[in-house]
Amino acid sequence: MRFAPLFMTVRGNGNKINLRTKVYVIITKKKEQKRGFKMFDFTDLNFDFDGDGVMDSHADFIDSDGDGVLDTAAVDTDGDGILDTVFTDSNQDGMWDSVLMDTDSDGIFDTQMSDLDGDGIMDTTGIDSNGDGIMDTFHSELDLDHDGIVDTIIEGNDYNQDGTIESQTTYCDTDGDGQFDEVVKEYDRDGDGIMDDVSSFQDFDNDGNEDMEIRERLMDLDGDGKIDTYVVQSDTDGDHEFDTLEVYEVDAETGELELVPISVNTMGNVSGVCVDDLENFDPANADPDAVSGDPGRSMQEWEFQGETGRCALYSQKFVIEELTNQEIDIEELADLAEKNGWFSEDSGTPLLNMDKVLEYYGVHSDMSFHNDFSDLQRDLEAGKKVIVAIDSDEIWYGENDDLFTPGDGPNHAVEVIGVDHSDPDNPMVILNDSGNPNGCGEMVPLDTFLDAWEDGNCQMISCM
Amino acid sequence: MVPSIEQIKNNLKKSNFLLDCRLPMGYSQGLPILSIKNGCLCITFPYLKYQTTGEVDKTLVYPIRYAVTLELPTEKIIGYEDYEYRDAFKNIDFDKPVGLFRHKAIQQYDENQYNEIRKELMGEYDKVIQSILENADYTVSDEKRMRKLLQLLVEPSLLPMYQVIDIDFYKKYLSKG
Repeated sequence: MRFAPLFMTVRGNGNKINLRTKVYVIITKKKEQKRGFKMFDFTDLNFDFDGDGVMDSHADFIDSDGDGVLDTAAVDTDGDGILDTVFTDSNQDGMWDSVLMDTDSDGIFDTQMSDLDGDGIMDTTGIDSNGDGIMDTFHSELDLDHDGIVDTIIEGNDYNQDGTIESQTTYCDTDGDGQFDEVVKEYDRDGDGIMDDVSSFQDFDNDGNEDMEIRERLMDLDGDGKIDTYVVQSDTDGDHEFDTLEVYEVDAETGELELVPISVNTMGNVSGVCVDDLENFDPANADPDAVSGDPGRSMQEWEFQGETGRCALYSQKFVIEELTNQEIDIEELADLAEKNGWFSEDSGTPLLNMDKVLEYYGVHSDMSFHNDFSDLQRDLEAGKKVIVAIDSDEIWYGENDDLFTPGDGPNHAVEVIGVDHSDPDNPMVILNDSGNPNGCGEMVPLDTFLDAWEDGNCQMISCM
Repeated sequence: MVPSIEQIKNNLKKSNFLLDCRLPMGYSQGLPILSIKNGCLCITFPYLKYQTTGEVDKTLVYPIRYAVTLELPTEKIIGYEDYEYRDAFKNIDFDKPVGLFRHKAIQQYDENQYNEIRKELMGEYDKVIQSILENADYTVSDEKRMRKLLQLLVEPSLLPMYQVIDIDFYKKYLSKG
């Protein structure tokens, strides 16, 4: 668990975006420094950026609710005749409290900033990371106790672009000592808008390591679409193993929790990925000369597969979108694959069918087995996209001697998007892993990857 | 030269035949079944799925779904079956787990210890194969050891399926009676 949030660093689908435009100042690196930016408290939004005495921007002020008070400003900041910024004063206190921007002048608003904690400072940034017009990546730096210092940072992602956040991480400094001592990770695994998998980590002694973890989950075990089970686990000694497990029924009618413990053995599928220790590739801070492939580009296409067995479909979708620049609807793709017998929602995809969707979309691919890692790296360096089958347990749970299975076959497909040799003694393989909610640019030590890949007969699908 | 069971497993795993069977990803070899068919020694590899949940001893065990049978020592493939289509298994929902790994009897063993026990069991399979094909020595204590290891390692929830797949193997090695 990382108890060190990044400040004003927006990580949207793996992209690190430094927000800089003509009308605002940003980027703070340390907590003590000025955060966000103070919103304009004047109504004149016409600017002379180059100081030539001619206004470069033009603003129209609007009374959006017709109450006689101007509350919205539509601005053409660069004077090109195209509206690129909208300021809103939603509480009509004379201060702009949110702004919507088209930072790349493509006609689509791609950045939103707002004041979430109401202290007059823009503290929350929303980014449309893939240019589809939907804000999908959010970063908030909040001062909830209003002492002038950030005490809460929230990172959120709308991975499936449905307008709802599916993954959110909150960093809290609960005692105001300047150290973040609580991290809460929340996932909406079934995409119903409810965060149904919540883990909270406590660092009591400020050493940067968790001393306690509590994980809570809401589950639908009988598959009727209603939450019926509430599961709570706790690791009270920080040894990364849960010491307690409590399972409760949820009253389907009232939605209320009935504190009637039920047997763990009746729980059925309690799946959940535990891969918090895996880091994500950061294109903005990487040395391009030490990295094979183009992981930064590939990470833009990553999506979380949720509770489905569609890993091979997602891997192919990522590659098709990278190579053809067309957006593929995963539901249509799943429909196509199922109708053709390439895939089944219940069982997943056979190895030999892992290129069928690629073929359908006209992407040339070669499937081969028993490859060496040098083959894979060679293809990445040649600009090809690579999909492999692996034993995901090796990657997700490899270090726990008590968490293993007798199975030694491949059970998961991922896209290999790069190799980072920044530390030559510890090269890292970079994956787009749709099975991990944080699998965008997932960094896996080379040795671990090789063990996982070997279980899949070192299969490789190279696409170009 | 009789191949070791590990060689047989690996050869099968890498074979085009198995790939062409298009087993969905996630299925892996279970503990094999030895049988005599028309005087020939055969080995059947069951294929089943384990789904890790991220919690110790809560890995889901699914029913045996497929099986591939080879003649020994030639390793000629003589059979492939999808049990979804066998009448005896018509009431089994192959997409629902039937048990949890590790079961109680093996919860004391970590991954290395488990693998050591499994490796010893594979050695016991080799002894049976060599005794049949090469008339190598095989003692009562060897058979007892194989029984003990198999009864320890086979998932209890899979025993009914082993019983149906090969009643002779089940009676010889897996039945408690």
